[in-house]
Amino acid sequence: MTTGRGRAGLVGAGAIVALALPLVVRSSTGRADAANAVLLFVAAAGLVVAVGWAGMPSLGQGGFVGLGAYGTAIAQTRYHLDPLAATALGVLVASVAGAVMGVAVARLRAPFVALGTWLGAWAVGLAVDAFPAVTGGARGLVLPPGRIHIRSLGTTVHLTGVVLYEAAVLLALVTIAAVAAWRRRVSLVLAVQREDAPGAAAAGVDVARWRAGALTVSAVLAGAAGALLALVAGVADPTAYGPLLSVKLFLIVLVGGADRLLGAALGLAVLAVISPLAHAVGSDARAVEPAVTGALLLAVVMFGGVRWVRPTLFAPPPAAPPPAAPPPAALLAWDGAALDARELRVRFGGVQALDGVSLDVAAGSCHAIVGPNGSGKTTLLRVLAGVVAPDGGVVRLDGTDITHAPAVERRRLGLARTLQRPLRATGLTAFDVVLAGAEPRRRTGWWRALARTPQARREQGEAEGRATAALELAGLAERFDVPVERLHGAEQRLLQIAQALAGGARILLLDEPSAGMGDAEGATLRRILGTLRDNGLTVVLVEHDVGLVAALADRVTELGGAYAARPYASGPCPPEPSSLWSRPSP
Amino acid sequence: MPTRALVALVAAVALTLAACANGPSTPKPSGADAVIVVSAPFAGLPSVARPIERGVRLAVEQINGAGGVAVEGRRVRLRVQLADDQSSPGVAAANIRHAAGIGAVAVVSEGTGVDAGWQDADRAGMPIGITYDGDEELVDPAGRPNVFRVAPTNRGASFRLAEYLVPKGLRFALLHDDSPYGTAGGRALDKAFVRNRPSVTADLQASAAPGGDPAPQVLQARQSGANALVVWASPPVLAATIRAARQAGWQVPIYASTTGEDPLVRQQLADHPQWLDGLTFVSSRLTSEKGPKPFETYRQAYEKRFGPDKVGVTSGGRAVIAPPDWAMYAYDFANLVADAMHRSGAARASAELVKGMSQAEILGANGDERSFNEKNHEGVVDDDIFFATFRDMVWTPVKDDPLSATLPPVPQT
Repeated sequence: MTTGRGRAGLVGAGAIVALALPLVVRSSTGRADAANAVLLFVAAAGLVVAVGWAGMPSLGQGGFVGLGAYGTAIAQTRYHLDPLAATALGVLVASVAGAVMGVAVARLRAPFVALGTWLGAWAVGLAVDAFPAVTGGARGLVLPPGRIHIRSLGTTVHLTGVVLYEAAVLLALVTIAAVAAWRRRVSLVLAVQREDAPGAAAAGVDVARWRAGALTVSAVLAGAAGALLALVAGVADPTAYGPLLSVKLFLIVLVGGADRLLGAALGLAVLAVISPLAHAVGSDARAVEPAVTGALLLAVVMFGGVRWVRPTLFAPPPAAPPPAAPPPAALLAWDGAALDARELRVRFGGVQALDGVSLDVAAGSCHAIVGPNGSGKTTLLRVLAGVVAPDGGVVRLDGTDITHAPAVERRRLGLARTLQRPLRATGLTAFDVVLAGAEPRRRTGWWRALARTPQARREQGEAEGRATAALELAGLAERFDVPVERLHGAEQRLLQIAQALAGGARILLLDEPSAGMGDAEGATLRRILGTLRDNGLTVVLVEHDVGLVAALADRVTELGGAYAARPYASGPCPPEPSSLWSRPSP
Repeated sequence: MPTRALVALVAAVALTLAACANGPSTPKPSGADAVIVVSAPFAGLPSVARPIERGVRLAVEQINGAGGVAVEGRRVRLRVQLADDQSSPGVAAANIRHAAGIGAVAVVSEGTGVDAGWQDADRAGMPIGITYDGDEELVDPAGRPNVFRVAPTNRGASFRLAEYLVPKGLRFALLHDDSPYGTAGGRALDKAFVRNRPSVTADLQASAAPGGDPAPQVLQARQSGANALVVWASPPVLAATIRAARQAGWQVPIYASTTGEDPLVRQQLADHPQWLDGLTFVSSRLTSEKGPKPFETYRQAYEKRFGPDKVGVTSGGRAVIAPPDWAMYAYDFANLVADAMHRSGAARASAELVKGMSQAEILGANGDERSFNEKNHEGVVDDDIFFATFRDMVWTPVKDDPLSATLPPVPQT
């Protein structure tokens, strides 16, 4: 188990060893090999973000490495930029490609992400062959001798093997620092969406944007590695960035544990010994490497991929103890919002799920939606949350038309929905999940999180405070470090409420929160929701539990369903609300 | 203490460093040795790499057998170190840097990575000898003072080919592959045929990637109305091109670059030996004006040391033997390096050694004089190109070319 100080010490010791390596490795070939290994680690670190954190099986990393290499080489040879500017351009080319690819595959399922990125890697290779006048074709694009003139110092730095090696190590250290900076927030949000994308979306995480961001960051690191690889080799080598490199990088992160940089280092080491081993047994490394790579990949996938190795060597650290909780009142300082809907219509094929339903939810009230199964209650909640687009009608939040606002935007405005099902955030703790739920309140993104700007640090502190208070309010303060999959059903539902509260919910859209709860748990839920309502939060409650509705609801809307004479009826909550839906359908 | 993580990190670093330390297996040269590094595609294209290695090795063993190279009153023994370039410019350039790093007296290469590595070699004063690739851009005495070649040039081969073919009045489809050898050859063919462009019906490129199939290009060539196919491609692509044409029933005459005599082509067409009949290829002549005796002497020494280079096919029931003509270029270059060491008094890479290369002069394995000077780094003159045609898996010089017609047949069985 690695503590924060232990990790920092480990990285520091590793950095000193790595930076001092040229004192030991004196041959230019050895230094170049070491630089190449460090740069492969950087490219693999990019995959840690995309594969390990975001759960996107990218098989295109080799292509991004190639774009970085060729971007740099072309900038130097055709536009005569100095190596620094050329490297920046190479990274930019890879980054743009990564962003485009990220947007293209962000909404796809894992197999299609793999396929899309794989095709991207091939496209890079084919482009290199197709435009030999630009890329140098099979002979590669030879870079001129590297030197950078620093005007302010009046000196010229020659990019010797030692300089390039040290540059590679510095890039690796920056990468490690970036990953560390992102671990508290970015990796958490990506993990939540990786394990349960619909759950993350319901919590206000813009899943597609985060996934596109992960692939972009992955490409940035690959591009930087590629740029330096070309400088080290002195040539943008068409044989070096082929699809096999993508597979190797993918394998590197899987072998050692996809969500840990240390895992990438271990994976790299495993692959690095293939060549010497092949040589030792008298085989040719070039012939053996693809076969061994393929066999290892199969083995890792067959034995459970990331989780095959991770629990033994790289058990995830426990969640940090939550900071001292502010009083729940501070959490509940938000004003509940008013919500109204007019003439909502939704048709699924031949079924009219909603047929002109209207709804008025006063700010700070509890509004129950009742009706028989299939009457459209969940559909109505999904329309209000922006998950389903209505065929007709209007939805307003505090009088503002939000009918066409996407779900993420509504979540940012305070409209939070919980799911009927439990969250599937395997391996993440209750605190992790609630903290990820604070995303809608944040204004800083990847780069300010990386730079740890004052605003980013303040937001992090606030988010952790809100998460802690929300857990306390939901009665889960003592369960903060319990993995989500070990929470029982009732706790899972309360966890979703806490998640919504941490994200600054002004209106809670609750979908059968008491389903499966026993009496004691139901009472707890009743008490918590009562507290929320009493403090001014608006609650929209889809519920079958008559007692809960009677105890909490100010008004009730009854949905009649597709076969009812009236599509809906609204009114004050009667003393015995069961009468609303106990009538036989016509 | 984060013990497990520390162990993992140490293991990772150790393994990676172990891998970094991996290089060509020969130990560093001792003070009395001079190393010649052979950088070639040993795994990917052994039919190209092995002759280079063997040519260098034979020369080195003969020199050492005679006591080594006389350098300023002492005898320096030569040693050969092999490095697979994996057909990768980056790996080949790294091999060249490695050679420069250990103070090798020369790198002998088939041509890959010279573009990327010659400057490092030049700084170290290390000559590079190209003994396969004929790309004219590789050798430039003014711009690349340390790069030399002993091999037929693409320029010579392509112009002689055009000179030989155009009078036949055929309509040519030119086909090259996208390997470095093929792309450079494609450029050379374009230049050679530029004055007779109307006779070219198609100019096509095929993929040299493993598994690449040139059948679509062959079809295009046929559809273009060509009645002759000129192929400049790596051995597997040439074999696949012949196969595609003949399988389609297209009995077009096929003219090939220097790879036509590569054993791989014959091996890959061993199931249909008749498909190879009539294949005409271009090469540099094996014999000099002094007759076949010098080459035969060299050949006997070569075959005594390594055994005959069996092609892996038979002709008239007898195993076909490849004459060691490509090994001859590497053999001659190694001897030129030894001569340069002797003349310059340099036992290690140095500016003097590079300068000495421009004064080196030897009698080559085929009896020709091989030499360089400050303005010429080509060891094979462009006029020394001949043509040969296959019949039953062995080739004989053609009779309809004045130079080729004078050449004696070379025993191949």
